[in-house]
Amino acid sequence: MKKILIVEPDNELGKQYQSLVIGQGYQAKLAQSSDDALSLIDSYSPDVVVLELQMIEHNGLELLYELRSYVDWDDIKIVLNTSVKQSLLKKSPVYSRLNIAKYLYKPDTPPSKLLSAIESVVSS
Amino acid sequence: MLYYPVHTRCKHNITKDNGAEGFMDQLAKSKWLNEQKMYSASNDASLPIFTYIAENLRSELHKFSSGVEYAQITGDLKGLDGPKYSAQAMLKLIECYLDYIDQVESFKQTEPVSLSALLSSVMSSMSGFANWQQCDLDLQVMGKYQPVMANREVLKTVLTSLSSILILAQSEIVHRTRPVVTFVVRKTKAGISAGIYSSVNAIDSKTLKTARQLYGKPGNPTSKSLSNGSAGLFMADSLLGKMSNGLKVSKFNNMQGLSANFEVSQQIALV
Repeated sequence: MKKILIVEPDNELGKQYQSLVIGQGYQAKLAQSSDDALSLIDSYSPDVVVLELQMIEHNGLELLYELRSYVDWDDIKIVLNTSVKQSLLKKSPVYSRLNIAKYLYKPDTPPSKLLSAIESVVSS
Repeated sequence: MLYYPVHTRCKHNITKDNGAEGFMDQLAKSKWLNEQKMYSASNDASLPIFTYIAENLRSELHKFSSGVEYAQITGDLKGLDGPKYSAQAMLKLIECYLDYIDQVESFKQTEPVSLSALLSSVMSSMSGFANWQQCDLDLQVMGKYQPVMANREVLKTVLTSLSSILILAQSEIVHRTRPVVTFVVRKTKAGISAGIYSSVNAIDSKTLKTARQLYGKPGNPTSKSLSNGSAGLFMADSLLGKMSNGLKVSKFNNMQGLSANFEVSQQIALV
């Protein structure tokens, strides 16, 4: 059974996503901060990480940079589900090196679309 | 604050020469972060705060629609609680904004207001939201106090907005015991203080300072999530500055929170 880690600082949204992902037949855990996410990536070894970039203490790009620093975690697929527009992200010099499997603009992404995106990334 | 990988399995050697700091500098200078500041570049004074509110509303509306779809997929009607509270949060934000832009008229209409009664009313109205966010509410009135002169409706909007922000802020902190948000009325050297405090450290001086600096820029200083909003904190701060000695971070019984000191009306005192 594929393991999904949802990194979402909003408690309500995070729990909804987690519940729906479990309902689709996956295992799912929720992290509300970059620090929690790193601990869970280490202990839980997810196959896919669904990530919101906008977190105050350490944002998602910093988390991604660290994640991509570790050889062991090269195979983890990243689905960005964020309110930061992709056109802005592409202007960052490091974005292309972060190996994002799927980008979703959160305001345009209802739960069904998120589930479809996870499904397509898992099966790819 | 730069964030360097500290994991022992890191394949990068974290030194300045290796470019880790260079990456962070690039990130800090990148347009992605600077985008957040560009909303303040406007000659129209109302535009920055409206942009801030638009960000907040966008976040809440997304939660609203997600919550409805979640309830439709799962058939769980309790999933509709989220959209209900999102709608209420949006309405509070809009009320706060309407009061904010109508300050001149609002503050002409003042009346004697019992802070104890008002806080009790606010607490009562927030009990459903607090319960849903898995926190308890408490009211502590440290004595009998005279009313203060204020616009009751504006003050109620402000206090409701602040309590909503504090409840939401503590919900995004992982804690072992169920947190308590306490509404307090007490006498201080500066007058009668009305405050809202939390048993978990959700608001500190840096947060309030950041909130004030965020005028015109999207962002939420009270929450770990930048996508959720607290434009209400800025507006509440502005409105309370007109009614009282202003919003400040304060402590009560080992809890930290936000409070404002009100002077007792001299007219009431004479009566």
